[in-house]
This record gives sequence, C-alpha cells and structure tokens, in this order.
Amino acid sequence: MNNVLEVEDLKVYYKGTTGEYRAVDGVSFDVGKKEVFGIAGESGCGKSTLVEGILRIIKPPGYIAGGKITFDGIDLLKLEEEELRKIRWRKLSYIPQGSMNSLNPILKVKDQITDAIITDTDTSKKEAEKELPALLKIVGLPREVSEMYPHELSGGMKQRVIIAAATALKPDLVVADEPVTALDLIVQRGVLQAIVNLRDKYGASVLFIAHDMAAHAELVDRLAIMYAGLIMEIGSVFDIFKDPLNPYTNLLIQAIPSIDKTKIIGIPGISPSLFNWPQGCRFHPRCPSAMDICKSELPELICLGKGHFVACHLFGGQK
Amino acid sequence: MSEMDLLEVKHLTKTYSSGIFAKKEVKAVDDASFTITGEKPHITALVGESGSGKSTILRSILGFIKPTSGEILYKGKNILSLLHKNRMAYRREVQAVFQDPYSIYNPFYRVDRVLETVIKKFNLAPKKDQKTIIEDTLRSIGIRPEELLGRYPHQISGGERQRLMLARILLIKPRLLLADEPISMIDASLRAIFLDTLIDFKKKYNISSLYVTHDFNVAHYIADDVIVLCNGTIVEKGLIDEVVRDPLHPYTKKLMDSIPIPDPTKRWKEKIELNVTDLKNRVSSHACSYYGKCPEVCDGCSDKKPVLIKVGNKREVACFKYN
Repeated sequence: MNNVLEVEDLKVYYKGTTGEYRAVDGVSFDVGKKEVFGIAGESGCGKSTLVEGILRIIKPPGYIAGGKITFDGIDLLKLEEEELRKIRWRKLSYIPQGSMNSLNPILKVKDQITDAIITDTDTSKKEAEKELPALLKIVGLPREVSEMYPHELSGGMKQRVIIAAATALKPDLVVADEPVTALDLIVQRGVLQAIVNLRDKYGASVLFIAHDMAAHAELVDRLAIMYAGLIMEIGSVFDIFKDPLNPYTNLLIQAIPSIDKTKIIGIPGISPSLFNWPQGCRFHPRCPSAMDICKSELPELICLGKGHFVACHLFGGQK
Repeated sequence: MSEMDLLEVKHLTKTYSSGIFAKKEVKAVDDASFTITGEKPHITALVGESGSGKSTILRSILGFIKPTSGEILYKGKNILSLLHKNRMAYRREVQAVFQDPYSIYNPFYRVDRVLETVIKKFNLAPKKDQKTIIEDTLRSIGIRPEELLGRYPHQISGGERQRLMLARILLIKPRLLLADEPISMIDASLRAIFLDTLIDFKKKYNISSLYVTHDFNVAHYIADDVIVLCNGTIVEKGLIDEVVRDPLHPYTKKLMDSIPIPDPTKRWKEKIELNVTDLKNRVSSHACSYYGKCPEVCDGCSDKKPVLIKVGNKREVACFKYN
C-alpha cells in the first residue's frame, strides 16, 4: 500500500435554512508515502472545509455528506470517536490556520511540547524532555527556545514550535492549513524548510494547504488546484507550472507578482459564493476560454497521462 | 527644504517603553529621515519585516502616534500643528488604506455608508448627486455598482471590501495615500487588480503613495523608489529598479533571497539560519541594526552604527562595507 491518505468523492456540506451549501462537492485525491501534497485555491474555495472533513473535526452546521477517507488502510468515516482520537494526534496531526496563537502564554515552550507527548503516550516527563532538542532541531530552533515563553518568540518561531509539537509523536501524516500565511518572507522560508525537514528526516507525509502559489512551487511534490468546492487540476508541481492545462491554473500562476515580471494579470470577476455555485463549469463566468458547453455541463476530472488530471471542456472533460 | 517636497520625515524616532519599575525601552523607529517629492506623482515603497517599524512610521505620518523626537513636515508645515489647526484639510490631502479590510466597516450599516459619509464630511457633492458620483467612481475602478451597493460588509469578500476603500480614496482624491500592506489579506487573483488601481491613481489623478510591504515582488511591481527598514533603521534607499538589480546592504540581499520564486525548478538551494540569540536584547543602540544576523559582519559593526551614505544617484546605504 503506497498511499497514506486516500480521499474518494468527499462531500462536506453546511446545513442552512434554505438548503445545503456544498462547500466541498466531491473531491478525490491521494497522498503518497513521504510525499508533500499541496492544495491551492482562493479563499472560499473550500480548502479549510476539506481539511476539517478529512480530520472529521467539522462542526455543525457542517457535516460530511458522503465519500470515503482511507488513512493507513483505515476507513476514517467508519471509526468511533474514541478510536479516532487515538489516531488523530499520534498518527495524523494537524496544524490549524493561525495556530501560532494557540500556544499557552504562561507555559514554557518545553512544557507545551512535552504535554503533547505525555498526554497521548505512556512516556514520562523526563523521557519526553530528552527528545526536545532533537524535535526543535528539525524545525530549526536552538535548544534555548525550550526555556522561553511564547511572548519571547516571533510569529515564525511560534509557528515552528507548533510544528515541533504536532510532530513530536512522529505522525505518518501532517496536515498543515496555511502555515506560512501572515509571516514575513524570511520567516516563511524558515517554516517551509521545517516542513521539508519533516519529510526528509522523519519520513512523514505532508498535506500542505496554502493560497500562495509561490510557496507551493517552493515546497510540494504534487499539487491540486481547487475552485468552488471542486478540484480543477492535479499533477506534479513541475508539470503544473510548466504546462498548466486548466485556464484557472494558468491565471493563478500569472497572478503571482515576481521580480522578473513587469506585468501581472489578475483574474477578472469575483469568486463565486457557495450559496449559489454557477451552473456548468463553476469557473466559466470568469474564464477567458469559456465555450457554450461550459455553461451547462460540469466537466469531469480526466487523466491526460503521467498522473496529470484536469477538469476542463478544452481537454474533453467528459467520460 | 525645497518647495517641491510633499512630505518630509526628519530624524523621526519613536521609543515604546514597558514595565513599571524597571523601564524597558524599545526603539521602534530610530532616526529615520526621508522625503517624498511633490514634483511629480510618485510611489515609494517602505520595505521591511514585521517589527521593523514600518507601521510606526506610517502611523506617525497620520498623526495617530506622537514621535518621541524628530518631526514630520507636510508641504513644509509640521503635521502636528496642521492636525491641530486644520485637521480636515490635512485629512483631505493625506489618506490611508489599512491591512485589515474587515475592521473598517460597521457591520450594522450597508457598505454604501462608508462612501456617503466621505461625501458628506468633505462636502464633495450635493446630496442629490451623491448616488451618481458613487456609481461613477465605482465604475472607474472596475466595480459594477449594482453588485456591491446596498450590501452589508459580511456579504462581500475581503478583496471587494478593500477595493471599496479605493473607491473611497478616489472620491476624496488626496495628494498622498498611505497604504499599510493593503493586499496581504486579499486573494492572489484580486491583488493584481488592486495594485493596478493604485498605479492608475498615480498616473490619472496625481495621487502619490507611500506603500508599506514586506514583499519585494510587490514593491518592484508598484513603486518608483524604495526605502528598506531593518529594526527601525533605514538601511538602504534608492530607485526600485537599481535596488532590485543590485542590492547593496546585506539585509536587503537577504530579503531579496527569501522571495519564493514561482518555479519549482528554481527552488532554494541553501538553508537559512534563523537565530534567536539576539532576541532578548534586541536593539542595542550602539551596534548596527543588523548586527547579530549579518553574514558579512566585520569588527566595527558592534560598537558603531553606520549612517546612510550616498553611493550613487539617489542611492544611499548604511553599511560600513561601503565607507
């Protein structure tokens, strides 16, 4: 079995007064062993809801409406809450958005990290403390940090403390939701480095969620582009940047400001609201290459060889 | 000072102190001086990491915080006296756009109110023309009025909220716009449109901007010249093209190196070290502001602070390497 995580046709909806809001509307992908898998997309496209669905931490009115999630061969959706909790921190860990603010301000860094180890295993506090320097080293922090309080650290260092805590139990998969947003570029680079280290030194797989395409280019192996609750394109990051197939992917790449670009192009129009996804292909109102068929038929995700999938009528898009 | 200077910041220093018994002081901005020319409309980027004092400078110019020492002149007059005597006139000419597009709006009112208030406060138009003016302004920055007007703030996206702020700016048509990381909270797809509008403001309406960012990519896209701040001190100034092509100060170089390149075939080769050793005693007033992190440190750096020296046309750098 080569995949750590397999998501099949996952649907996560929100119950509303007037019906259901389909935030994640049938998403399938898999994350291989020792792979960094990226998910990119604009805000409101369902990235965070997807993550909450995978970890089964979605809160009402949100609920999982269908699909299958297999993690290490276990069907997560069929698991009892109690069994799921055992897996969650130990094998499947989560770095939520803005998590640097979730450190306890009156505890030293070492206590916060060892807490994570003691709570879930039989390790004694002493043994847990022995592991600290190694954990901090992987995220690029010196050992003095363990004696510091959160307010003495910068945002990027706090973020890395969280990464160290989240990986203290050597999980098989780390899910990181926008871990570098709101950080300075220099610090961002340090955090990205820490994430790569997780894979290189521990052999962990990483599911990396970010709206910043440049961060994906820097870090991930394979990339999925999400738009309006659906996946528009999946492929190796090299293929996607070299030859983006879906017009949306192409526009996203065009929109990255860069030193050697004199002109960056925005995507016209506004991203659709989940209360009312457009008919047909959900990107068609903003798409420069929209055709008649796009207005009525939703394109399927089809494989164009070498693991490059695209959902677009320009490439067939129908079974 | 010449007649041509729109804004002149002279030796601005701001110290924040904390603690009741043992006063701890942090110099957020240390002796910063720069000018924004009024000759022609101009966009100046203020680049630095968080905590480098960018926002403190911006807030001082707006008069929100009082400098510990130094002064800020707008068209040759001290802004503190301007704000005292003629607040509305100063506000009419100097406007701001902030980072968080959410906190500007009152959630109980429709978004139209933000624009209507401006017209009323500054007497921009009689009440009967109000609606047409708002709609024309929105159209001129590429927003369809019928899509946004009459909605509540929570019903529109962050990018739209931020663009409505631009519409507000355009109604006022100030001389100087202060922008504090305005695009950090909006989506990549709308960023380009936002930046292009600012460039349009400069070209069409003669609005100059001081644009605060940590991202050299954005600075390069939008600005004519750049000021680099490191721990409260200006370490490099110059035309943006020259600074990007050939960064002189080691700190500027590091900022440039840390820009992620959107090309997976050009990933970072080497690893960077993020030190914490200097965290506890951050800014020693004697040492260079980049001392402790600088890869090119030499003997003199720990006991003396380098001053800005001219190294070319409009180019200044504060580093002993260039003395």
